[in-house]
Amino acid sequence: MSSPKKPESPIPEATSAPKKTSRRQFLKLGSALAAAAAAGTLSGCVGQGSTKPLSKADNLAVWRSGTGQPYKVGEIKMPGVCDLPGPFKKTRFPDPDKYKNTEQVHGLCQLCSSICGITGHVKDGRIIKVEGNTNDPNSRGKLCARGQSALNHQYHPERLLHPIRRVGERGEGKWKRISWDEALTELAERLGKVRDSGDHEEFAFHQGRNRSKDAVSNFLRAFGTNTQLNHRGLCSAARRAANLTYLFESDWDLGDYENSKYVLNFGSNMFEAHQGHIPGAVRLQRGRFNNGAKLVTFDVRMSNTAGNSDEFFMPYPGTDGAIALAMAHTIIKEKLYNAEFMATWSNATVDEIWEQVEPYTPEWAGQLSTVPAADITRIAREFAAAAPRATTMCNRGSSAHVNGYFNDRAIGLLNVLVGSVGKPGGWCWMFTGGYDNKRFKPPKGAPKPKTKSLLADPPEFILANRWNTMRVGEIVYWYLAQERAKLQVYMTYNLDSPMTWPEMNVTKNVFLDEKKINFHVCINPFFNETASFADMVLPWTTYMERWDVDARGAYNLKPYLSMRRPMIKPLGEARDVRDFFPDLARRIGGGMEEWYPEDQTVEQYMTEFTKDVPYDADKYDSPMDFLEKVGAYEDPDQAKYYEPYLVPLTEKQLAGSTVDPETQIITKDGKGIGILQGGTAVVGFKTPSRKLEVKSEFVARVARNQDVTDLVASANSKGSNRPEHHKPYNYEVSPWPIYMQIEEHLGLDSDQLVMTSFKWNVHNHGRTANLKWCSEIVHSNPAWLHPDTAKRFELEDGDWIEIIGYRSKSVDRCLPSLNLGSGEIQDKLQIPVVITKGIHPGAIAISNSLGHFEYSNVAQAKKDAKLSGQSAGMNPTGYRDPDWERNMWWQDDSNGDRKKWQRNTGNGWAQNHVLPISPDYISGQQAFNSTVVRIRKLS
Amino acid sequence: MGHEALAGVAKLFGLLLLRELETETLRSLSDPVLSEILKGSGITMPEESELEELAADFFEYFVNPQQGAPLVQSISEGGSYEGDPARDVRKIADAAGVELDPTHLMGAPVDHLAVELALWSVLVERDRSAAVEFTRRHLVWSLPRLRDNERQGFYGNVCRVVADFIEAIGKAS
Ligand code: SF4
Repeated sequence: MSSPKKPESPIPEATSAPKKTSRRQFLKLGSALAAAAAAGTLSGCVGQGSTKPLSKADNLAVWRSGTGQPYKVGEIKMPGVCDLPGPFKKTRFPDPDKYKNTEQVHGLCQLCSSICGITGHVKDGRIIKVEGNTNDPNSRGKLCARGQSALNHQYHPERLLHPIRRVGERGEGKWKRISWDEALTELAERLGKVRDSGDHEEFAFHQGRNRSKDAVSNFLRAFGTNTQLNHRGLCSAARRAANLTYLFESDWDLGDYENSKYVLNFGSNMFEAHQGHIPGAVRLQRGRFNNGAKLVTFDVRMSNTAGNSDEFFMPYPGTDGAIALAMAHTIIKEKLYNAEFMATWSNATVDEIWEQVEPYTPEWAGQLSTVPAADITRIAREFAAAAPRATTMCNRGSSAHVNGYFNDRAIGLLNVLVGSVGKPGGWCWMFTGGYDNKRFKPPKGAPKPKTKSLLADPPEFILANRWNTMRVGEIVYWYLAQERAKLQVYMTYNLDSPMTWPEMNVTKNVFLDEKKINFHVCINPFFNETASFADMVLPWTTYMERWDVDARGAYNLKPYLSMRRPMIKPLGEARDVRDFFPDLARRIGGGMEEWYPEDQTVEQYMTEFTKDVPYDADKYDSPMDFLEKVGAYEDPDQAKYYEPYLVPLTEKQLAGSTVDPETQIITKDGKGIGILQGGTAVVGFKTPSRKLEVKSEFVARVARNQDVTDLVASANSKGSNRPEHHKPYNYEVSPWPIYMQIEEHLGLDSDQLVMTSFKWNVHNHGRTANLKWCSEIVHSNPAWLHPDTAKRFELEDGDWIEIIGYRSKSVDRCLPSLNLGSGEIQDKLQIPVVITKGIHPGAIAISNSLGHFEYSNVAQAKKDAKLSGQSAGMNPTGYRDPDWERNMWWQDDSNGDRKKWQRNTGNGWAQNHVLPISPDYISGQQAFNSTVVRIRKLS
Repeated sequence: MGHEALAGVAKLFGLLLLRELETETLRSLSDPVLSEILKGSGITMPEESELEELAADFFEYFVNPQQGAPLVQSISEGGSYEGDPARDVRKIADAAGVELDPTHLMGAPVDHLAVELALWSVLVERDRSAAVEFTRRHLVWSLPRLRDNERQGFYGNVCRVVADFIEAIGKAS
């Protein structure tokens, strides 16, 4: 059975180590082990296997099958490793066998919120390639650079694979591994105590991004807390609130770019980063190439979208609303509006609107924005001429401002005036932001608890939770710091708040204070900055290892449904919340267990969830079989959501209804169901007036904490009164789209600028710097300055500056109860500059995404782990990633010496050191782009 | 001759590298004869009171992802989990009828050195040439990783002795 010939020794000769243990000693040890009773308790981690001896044929077959074909390419044998030209350049590319006999598993990317459809090629239990799923109706088989880097994420050498518990002080960095059993036992005990205390809301679940909404909601509801926090305020609250003001039905506009002739873009960077990035970008480019659609962009900075537009203007930060209102002025003044549409579907007359916009002349806007008045006028004319196949597009560029809500209200008005709302090629939306949840429902979960959560619904913010839940994420740590709330257990999930929340030092200090956060458990696939401040970290699955039913705003304007499914088993001990929440709930007990049937697997749950998905019985066995083979469902018979307001009411709907003779609103059982238009009963808009709410009485009234029950009843879609605890916070808010001047932008000192932020096309806000392919492309983010500005400060490319950030005067005036003040924030930032004409002279731009102090050596740009500054357990030989060693060229070896710093080296700078907590009192939007900063040149 | 004994040693080392030292294991190894031999081999068994501190060392030396330290062949050779070594080990285990149950492996990848030592212990009793080949392909990679002199204390010693062991079994083949 064994080979007669003595095999060659595999050990190289003459490795020199003093006092080696000899083979004889090992034999002695072995005998002692065998003899000692200890042998029983020291069984190995694998069994003995079959008793059948390996035949020589078996043996050979094993080694043959085990050799590195077909992935072996030169010296590098890894899937997910890019072999660049050089001494190890690929010699067999493309490898013709690489994708033969792979299993293809469909899923959904989750490296940003667009959730593009993906297909994993799986071979020998490993994913060897991830590409776009062409069946996905939204993303249509396209992926961005982040999505293409999926394997960097999945098989990252620094993935966290075990539960860990701190053994030192919080934040000290001393940990031990624990078992899941230990982790869940401790968590259950702590959460049980929260329930026993009766203060259920002192258990907070804080998600960075959550695509397992059903599973998370069920757990939190079963527990009895409403403190589910998200990052909505740091993302899109103002835009959503503006859309909801007009529509009530939806917070998300989905421009029909593919069929458009004119796209007027206010600061959206659709080509690089957007909640609908790939689906939107694909259609926008098709619209341009197929219809000759014109793309005009206003942006403070030349983003890739701006640079690729037909025309690009650089306005002063925060003046998008002024430009839009001046365009509205032109459109009305020159009678370019759609009179019929306005008369039918605007709740304010053209004359009433003119009264509002008359002062907003192009000259006035030109002065404020620095965009020539003649261009504003010309573009207004062009936009109106292209209508109804014309739409605006906006996102954080216009909305992440102190005046963001009003900017987006003003931009929305343009679509109303030209009558492109809901029209093919125009400004559209959908009745759902995901799959059709009336048609497809998750298995029944626990009911919503009645507890009041101050953190989830802070009383100062008027619209944040009026239609949908839009948490004001950026004030969470400030509330805790001010002792307006405290947490017994804080569960963070896919959250990177130390890197992405404003005022990093506030976040850090709160994290470290056990009186404010008694226990912090972090759920993440990597040891990120949030984990470094936790008491316990649980290893989470990647999006290629878990289940979800999911969808996003559908740019086809009809709802779809996709499935994320595990392509492989989770690595290590990683587990998804779908897998361990039931176990945790049962351990907590007290009735929680009732919501988790003992015998239901996650797959069975998903089967029930998708049981109503139609499928072709000739081709597939079941809805699950269909989703497994295709990945997504879109109803071929469903019409696009064009002009939904024109849908006639049926006789059945009209039976028993009444019509208000003055407003023509049709009401049934006290609730609005439609409107009479030209003698026809149609659904209309799902707003109080059943028209587009150019003038919003709802907003004006809720701002004053007045009762809006009548308006909500008429809208019969969304909307609510502000709850009792909001009562002390009353405001006068204009019901109209108006221009709100950002106070602190007036009269700046000569060394002050407005700081704006942006995202790269290869990164999301805080979770992609660990991907080596993406970080090779972008790892450094000097501040952008215009040449004129640089001249004023006597700066040259590569010089360093110090930045001081200021809190907002506007925010402080509107929200005195927050005690933020308007002074300097604590941290300062030292950063080099890059001088470019691609930024407004009054602004300074710094990207987010970079400057990590945890989150893997890749994110910290450390080629040599020795530089990580964590000496405990340092292993100088470390892991070897030949690709990293060969291609990682951007390590910063200057050791903090600015003179030695080389351009384009290092891991960048985190802007949030000098970004103030700056929430808009109306929507709760964090003003990422309004910060006044003072800069000084460093010697 | 001696393969059974060496198989037992490989199992023990696999166990020590797979998971934190626990009271039960410590007590078993603290048998006076055994602990004397372990000491002679270079491993002094710690006191029970040191276990918590040792668990933190274990994390730093073998688990802490930021250090890139896990003793995993795919990482060591290719910079990512689940490289070719993982696939190869899985195939070898399959052929040998050895089930690599993730629960018993405490989530360790199949090409973690601990698992490879355990698999070697099965192979060496069955087919010496397979064990030799296995040493070459799936144990030797760890020598530079184990030989680094920055690991201290108990686990520093374990690493050095495991390296000696791999050298010894390699040379003897
Ligand atoms: S846009 Fe890119 S990162 Fe976002 S989901 Fe799509 S492929 Fe993934």
